[in-house]
Amino acid sequence: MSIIKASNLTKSFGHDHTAIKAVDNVSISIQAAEIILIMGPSGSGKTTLLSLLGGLLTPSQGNIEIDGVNITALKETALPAIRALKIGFIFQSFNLLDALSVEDNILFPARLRPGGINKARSRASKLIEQLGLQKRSKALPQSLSGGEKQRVAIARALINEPKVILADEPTGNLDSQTGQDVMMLLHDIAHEQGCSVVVVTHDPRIEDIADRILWLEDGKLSDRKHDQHKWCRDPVCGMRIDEWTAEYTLQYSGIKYSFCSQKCLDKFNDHPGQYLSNP
Amino acid sequence: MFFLAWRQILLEPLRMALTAIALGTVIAVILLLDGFEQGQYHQLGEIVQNRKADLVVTQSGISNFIAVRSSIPQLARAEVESVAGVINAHPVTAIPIIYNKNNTRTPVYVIVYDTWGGPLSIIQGDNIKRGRDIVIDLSLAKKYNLQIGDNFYVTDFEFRIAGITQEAAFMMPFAFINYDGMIDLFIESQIAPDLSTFPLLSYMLVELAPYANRENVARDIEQHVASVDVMIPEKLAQNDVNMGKVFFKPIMGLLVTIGYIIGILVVGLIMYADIRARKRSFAVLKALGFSFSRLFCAVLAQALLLLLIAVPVGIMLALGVAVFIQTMYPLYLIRLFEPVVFLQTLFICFGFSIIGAIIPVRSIQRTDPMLAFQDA
Amino acid sequence: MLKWTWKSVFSQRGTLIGSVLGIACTFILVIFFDAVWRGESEQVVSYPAHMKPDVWVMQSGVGNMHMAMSFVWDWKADKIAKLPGVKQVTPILYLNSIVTSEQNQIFAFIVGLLPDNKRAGPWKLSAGRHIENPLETVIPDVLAKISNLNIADKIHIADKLFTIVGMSSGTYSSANPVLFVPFSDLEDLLASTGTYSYLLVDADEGTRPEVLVQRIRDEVDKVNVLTHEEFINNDYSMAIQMGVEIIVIMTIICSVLAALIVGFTSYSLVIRRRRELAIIKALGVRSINILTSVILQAIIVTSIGFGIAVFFALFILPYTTLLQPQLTLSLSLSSLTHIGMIAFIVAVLGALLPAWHVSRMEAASAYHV
Repeated sequence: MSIIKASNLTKSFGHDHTAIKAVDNVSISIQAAEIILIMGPSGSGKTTLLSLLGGLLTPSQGNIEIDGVNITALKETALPAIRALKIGFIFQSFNLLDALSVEDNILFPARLRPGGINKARSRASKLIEQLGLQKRSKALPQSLSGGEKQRVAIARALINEPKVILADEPTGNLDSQTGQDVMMLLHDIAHEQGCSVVVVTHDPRIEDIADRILWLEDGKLSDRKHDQHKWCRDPVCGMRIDEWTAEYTLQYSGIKYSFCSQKCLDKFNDHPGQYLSNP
Repeated sequence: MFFLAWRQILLEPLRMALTAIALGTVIAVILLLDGFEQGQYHQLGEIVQNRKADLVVTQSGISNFIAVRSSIPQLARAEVESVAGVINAHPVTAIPIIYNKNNTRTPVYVIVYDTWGGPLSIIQGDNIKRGRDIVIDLSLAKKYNLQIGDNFYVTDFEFRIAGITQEAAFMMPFAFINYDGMIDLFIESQIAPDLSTFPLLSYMLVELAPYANRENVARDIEQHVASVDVMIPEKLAQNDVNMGKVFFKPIMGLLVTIGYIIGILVVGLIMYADIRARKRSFAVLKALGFSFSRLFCAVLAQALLLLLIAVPVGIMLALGVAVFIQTMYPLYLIRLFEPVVFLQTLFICFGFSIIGAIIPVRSIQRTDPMLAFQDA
Repeated sequence: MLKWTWKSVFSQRGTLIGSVLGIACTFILVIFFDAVWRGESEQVVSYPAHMKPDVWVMQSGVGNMHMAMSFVWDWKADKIAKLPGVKQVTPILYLNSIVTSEQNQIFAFIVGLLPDNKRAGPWKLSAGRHIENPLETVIPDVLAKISNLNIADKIHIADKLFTIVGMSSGTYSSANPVLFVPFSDLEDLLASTGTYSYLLVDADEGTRPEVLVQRIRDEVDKVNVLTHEEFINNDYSMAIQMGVEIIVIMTIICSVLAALIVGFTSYSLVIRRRRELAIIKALGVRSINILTSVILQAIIVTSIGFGIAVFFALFILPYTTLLQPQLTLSLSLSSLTHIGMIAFIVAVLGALLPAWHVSRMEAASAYHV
């Protein structure tokens, strides 16, 4: 069953000749308990797509259905309730409320659901336990580590038992081990609680837990298999690059070269011979 | 949303203290201005009522006790006392003088009394015992550093300060002498030749028999005695208060209005600065599904909580300043807690908190939930 | 650093506008207090100041007019008129009383004028004419406006009913609106005969007022004789000290309030730029420079607020008299300068708390997210 069904989604910013299509005719269907990764280069429209799916932005064209409700047909005033009850958000910068303790942060969105925070207390305790935050439940965010903050953010996203979690770079501000922990949490959420998880990321480590990886470039979406890496080296600096996802490429003498940055590309253009002789 | 507002306030105690003191100061300014105005009215109303008369006889056409010249023929006293129900008609004369010492001049209202109508209470020294005794208001004693037993000169005539009382009105201190003193002043003073037109009898304080009806006796006196009016002290006091209102209201009204505008701006400034500082939190809350109205409620709750903290601060501050003013300058009475005005002030403060919270509302409305996705 | 200071202040426009307006309002309150107080004090002496005789003669022991009572025998006026160097003696009778109209009761100064006495009468009529007959009065035009009185309307002074025949300009203040009535009517009200209150003495050309004062003192017993300047000074100094304590205290409270607003603004700026300040510290800028910057910011914010208050005071405040015609406002450069100095102190005081915060800030906090 599709939890999110978006069809022919387009989002443009600006008007006339200054118009930019951040998302261009994207259709996507996300099933229950599915983990979907949306990857792509910077500025490709990943966050815009996530915001459209979360009802934070209104599409220029197309429809989005969340749990059977066509949110594009709803009035602006009806959207907060959809976000509160059907969607959980996880942000790269955690975005916890500084004034509230861990427990209060987790419980805060519960006041938007029927029954309020009183009915959500047992769930909050369970989430605190599941996420290993028992000893930190009364702490203020400023005293938490990055990993702890993100676990609190995940608990907060789950408190209203949403149908889908939309996560924007959830491991972006975390070290390797903590990032791994957060990935496993997202995996468990999807597979044990039946909650769909859409993750926008640059982090290739998350690919391991994804059911499906989508590639967004210039606002267009395409499928990508897990194993579709084609590693090569930047001929200028020698850095390992995934040819499939590389942003800076050049055809030279019939061969495709990939670069880590515009700077390396420019250097190559200036003296290609120097780099080809000593790759 | 009170919960979030309260926690937000507690998060930065220094900021909370600063805002509570700022807001409290605004409230104190308004309370003090109102208190000063009410103090003036209270003093104006008290002066005649402190004379403790059942009825007051004035010159015909005179309906005030303060800032007016009333002159009654001396023979009228016997006529008033002959009216049924009247036990006594105590004479009182009011003489405005300018007290001058070391070239510092102060207008003083001197009440001359005989058997009734003297100072309500003596806070230092004694009441008048002989002709040259004078009882003066505390503010006058403080201003000129006058002590009991000191000389008090009215022009060249020497009085001796017998006691200190606390009666002032219309920003004027009062002094009390008896008729012996007044006659001595009139006869012995250098100004005697020019004093023929000084009133010898300004008012009569009428003491009624217990069975007498005030209205009936007042009507009888007016019928029997020519060229006098009779009033109940409450009415005379009200007339004095009304006269004071014409004098003070326009100025005080404008000052208090400016005070309220400052209040709105201070609350607006505090809330605006707070919303700007927490723009990201508002974006996150929007993304989490909190509607604009809920966010506005949070801001409103915060403004009202700040007001709740600031009100006691303001009251304490106003009380401190009022005590200071009344101790250092007892001429002024600051009536902070006149129930109607006090409640009205608090109610308006409540109003300006709401208006102040509305000022930055556009900032919340314009906060883009997408901000939550941006790096901190 | 100066550029950063300047840009920081203007980067948060909303906070800046709120602070500047708050500060401006508190200074407007202070200036308004001062202007009302000075305006009333000046207006108290408006009548004697406009009469401007060379010498004032009054009852012995009396040295001014405001709130005073004075009686001088009429024969003394005749005696003075005959003294060498005296050009003219204009007697007036004078009484503080309550004027009652249909709408309200107003404390007023009543001046009784002998027939054909234009010398001591209203100097400018905005409507109607001078008094010519018994029971006529000329009242201040502002009093007429606030009491909704017109020419031919009646007012009570004690038990006498007067008809308004003229309205005068410049004779109103809250403390003493001046009304003119016929001498004989005021004599009746005072139950006096053969006395005047004040004598306005004009000297012959070439006779110095001081000489005339001495001459009158030598020739006439038991009167007080003052030059015009002395008389006005006595009145003004007495008027201006009435309520001065309240003005001073309210000025202090308003200044404290302004300092708190400045403090709040500077503190908000510092808190919001905490990380930036830490980075600046980490880059090697000395704390003293940052403190100077914070104080400068406070001075900038206060100066703008004070500037707006002065603009308001000079160009808008005078129009408040259209709404409240009974107000008399007087702005003086010296009082604005004083308030400006207070503003500077306010700015420095307001910067103390954020400066303390900055001094405690660690450069290492630049690494915090």
